[in-house]
Amino acid sequence: MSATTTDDRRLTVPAVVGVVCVLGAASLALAAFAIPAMAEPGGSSDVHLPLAILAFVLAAAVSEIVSVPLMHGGDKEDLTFFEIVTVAGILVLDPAWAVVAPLVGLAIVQVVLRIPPKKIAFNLGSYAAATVAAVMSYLAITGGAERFSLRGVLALIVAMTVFTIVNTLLLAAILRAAEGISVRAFVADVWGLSLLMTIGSIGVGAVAVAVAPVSVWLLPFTLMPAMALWYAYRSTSQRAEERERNRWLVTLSGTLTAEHPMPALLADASQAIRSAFGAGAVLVVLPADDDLTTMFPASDGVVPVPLTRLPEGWGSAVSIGLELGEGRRGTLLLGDSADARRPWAIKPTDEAVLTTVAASLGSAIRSAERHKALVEESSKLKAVVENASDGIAVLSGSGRVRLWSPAMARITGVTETGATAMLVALPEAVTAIVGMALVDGVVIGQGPAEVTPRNLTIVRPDGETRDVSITVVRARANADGEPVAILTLHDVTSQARADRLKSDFVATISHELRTPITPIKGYAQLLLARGDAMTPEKRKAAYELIADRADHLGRLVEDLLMASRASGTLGSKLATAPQGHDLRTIVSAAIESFPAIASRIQLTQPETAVPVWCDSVRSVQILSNLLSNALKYSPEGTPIEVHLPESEFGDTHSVITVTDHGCGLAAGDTERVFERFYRVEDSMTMRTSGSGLGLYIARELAVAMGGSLTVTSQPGQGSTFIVRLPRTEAASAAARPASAPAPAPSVPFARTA
Amino acid sequence: MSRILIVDDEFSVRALLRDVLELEDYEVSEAEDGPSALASMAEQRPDLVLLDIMMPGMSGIDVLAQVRADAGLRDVPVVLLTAAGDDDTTWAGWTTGASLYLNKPFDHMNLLEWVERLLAEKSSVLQSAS
Repeated sequence: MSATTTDDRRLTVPAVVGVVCVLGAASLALAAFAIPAMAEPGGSSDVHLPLAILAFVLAAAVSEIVSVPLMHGGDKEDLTFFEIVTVAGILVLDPAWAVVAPLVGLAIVQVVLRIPPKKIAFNLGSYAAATVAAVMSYLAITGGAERFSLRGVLALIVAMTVFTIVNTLLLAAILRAAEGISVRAFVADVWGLSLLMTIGSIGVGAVAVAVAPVSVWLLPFTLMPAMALWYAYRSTSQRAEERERNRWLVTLSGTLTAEHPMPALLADASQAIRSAFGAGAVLVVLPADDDLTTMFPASDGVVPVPLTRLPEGWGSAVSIGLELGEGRRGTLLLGDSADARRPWAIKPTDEAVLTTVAASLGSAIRSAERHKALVEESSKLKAVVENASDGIAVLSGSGRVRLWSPAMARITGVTETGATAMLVALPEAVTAIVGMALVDGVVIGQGPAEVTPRNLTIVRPDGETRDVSITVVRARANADGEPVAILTLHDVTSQARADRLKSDFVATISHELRTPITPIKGYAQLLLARGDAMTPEKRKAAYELIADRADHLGRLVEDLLMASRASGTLGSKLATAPQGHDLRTIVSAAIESFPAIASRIQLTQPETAVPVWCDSVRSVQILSNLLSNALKYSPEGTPIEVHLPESEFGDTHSVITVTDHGCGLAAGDTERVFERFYRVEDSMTMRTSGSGLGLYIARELAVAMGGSLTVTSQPGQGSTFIVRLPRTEAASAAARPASAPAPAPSVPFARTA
Repeated sequence: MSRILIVDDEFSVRALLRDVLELEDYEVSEAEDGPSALASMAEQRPDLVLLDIMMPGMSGIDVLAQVRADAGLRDVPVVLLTAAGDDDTTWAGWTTGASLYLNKPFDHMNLLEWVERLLAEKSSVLQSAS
């Protein structure tokens, strides 16, 4: 390919065309003034002027048609016999007509051939400038000498050289603007051919002019050198074309063997094929292009495409099938646009080359597809590794970490860089994990291919511990034949915590159930065995205790049932039947269920009704749980304050606060107290007799009714629990979690105490 | 008659134990937590202690440890009563020096048999020592 320039001073194509037109017009104007003043060469022929002018116009037109296409870079230029006509014109015609006649012929033929106006303008401008320069140099050098004297012939040679130089430079200028081909490269490329053309033009033109007066019948023989010249042109042109094509074929083979992504491959290959075969357009139809594949079925060998099936805007084309493997086929179309000067057709000698090119292109497309699939596959894998919530690591047979996923880094607190560091610098968490993986020999290629998950507690660099479950699976050996294992790490810390809470709960609940059962069973047995020995008062007290403890046991079981109905994090499944109430009534009902501590409860509430939209039984239960909690966690005799603030205009919820003066909660406990089975104190020295469910149930109920339950606390000073319940049905609907079911009739399992 | 101290934070359990023991003419006293139990023991020197494990503030195991560390109380039989029933607590009870370990709910006849036996053993030890 010709050297391209990225010179920013490069003119645009319209600018060059404009300059050339101005130059042509200026040349013509100069000629109009200067030529009449110059001496004409002696011995001019006495030709019949109008007839001769007409002949020259025709000759110029014909010379333009009989052209030889010549490749330059990606562009096609036509070499014409226009110069022969120019030479003859200089020798035969009046100098002014020698300039005008060929230009007129050229203009006519270009218009008839429907060449784009821009191109016509350039051609006329450049030929006008070149012709004027040639004619004037000729006249200046001959200085009135004989046409066929030595001076006359030398003048002709100089004139035509000037013509060629001007023409070549202007062509170089437009090619530089249009294709970015450097002027130097273009001149280096064409000077030989141009010189040959100049000499040939003089030979044919001058000899024809010299022979004509002697014998018009010998004139056809002067065309013999013209024919020879034409063939010389053509073979030179063909050699240049061949060279050009070879360059493109080399480029093409580079493109086809390199690993390009599909779009780049198709673009580069299309450009190279187009240039190598001198086609105006190339189209690659792949099986993915559904519509096009039916229109251009893959053919065997090179087949001309019927005019009716050409792609839009195309004037000619041939098609050739592409083998894409697995029975899939595509089509390569080569052709030219409908605007082209002549229909494009493949040379028979090129068909074999094109067949080879098509085969190579097919396999290049296949490998590009494979490459694309590979890239897609690996990016999918990458996405899996990067987004998995479980940590993923790849270990080599020597136990080195080859991959350490983001989740792995998150769980262990060690980045990939840290995990792939030198063995001595590995953080403890990594050595613990890798060590666990190495134990079974999965990694080093011995032992089972997969081991069941193992649990491990790791210590992160920041000191935090995590409970993890590790699974190791042997993978296919890497390219070096080294065994590779994939390790997945599941963070079970929260699960382990839940398990601990659960087992704490089992211990707690068994204690809580056995405690009331002890007096029930004990008194029942005692009454059976020794009832007669007991006083009536003692017996009555025993029966009362049995009833009371059985009642307590019943409540405990209710709490458990309700806790199991509530779902924890995904919204409450507790059914509630909300209605409009006065919150004061609900608070009174709750306080009445604690007659023993009525004196400790200090209630402050407004004079007027506090509207609330709630299930009254559930709301009483929330408050009862809060009062019972306050009772458990505050010293005897301290007040428990229940407060209903005056509601303000615009409030969506009504509020009740329950404040105790107990031990309060540590900052970290203010949310955890609402967890299922969570108890603030150690279960061994448990201070309370609760199940660890009261606050959990209270919050679940509040949320189920579209409200909330929170706590604020000062350690050592007490806690304030804040219940918010919707004032109206609308507020309730707006606040209720989306997953909560529509209110259903209350199920009678609520405590009635 | 032998004096027995009942230590339990649960009123109903204390009431039951008192009724069971008083019907057999034992002299019964009560404490509802660890510190008051230790105070009561130091003062009254009971012949036997029925001690609950899970109590607020100070567990029965802690109380037992202090009893065994006290030269004056070291030989008092202590029966641990618990509703926990897990191995760790049982083991802690035995290693701390419990004379007997009974799970709640207990059989009152069984309890009385053990109380009688422990008191008899204690008196035989005392007799042989004297």
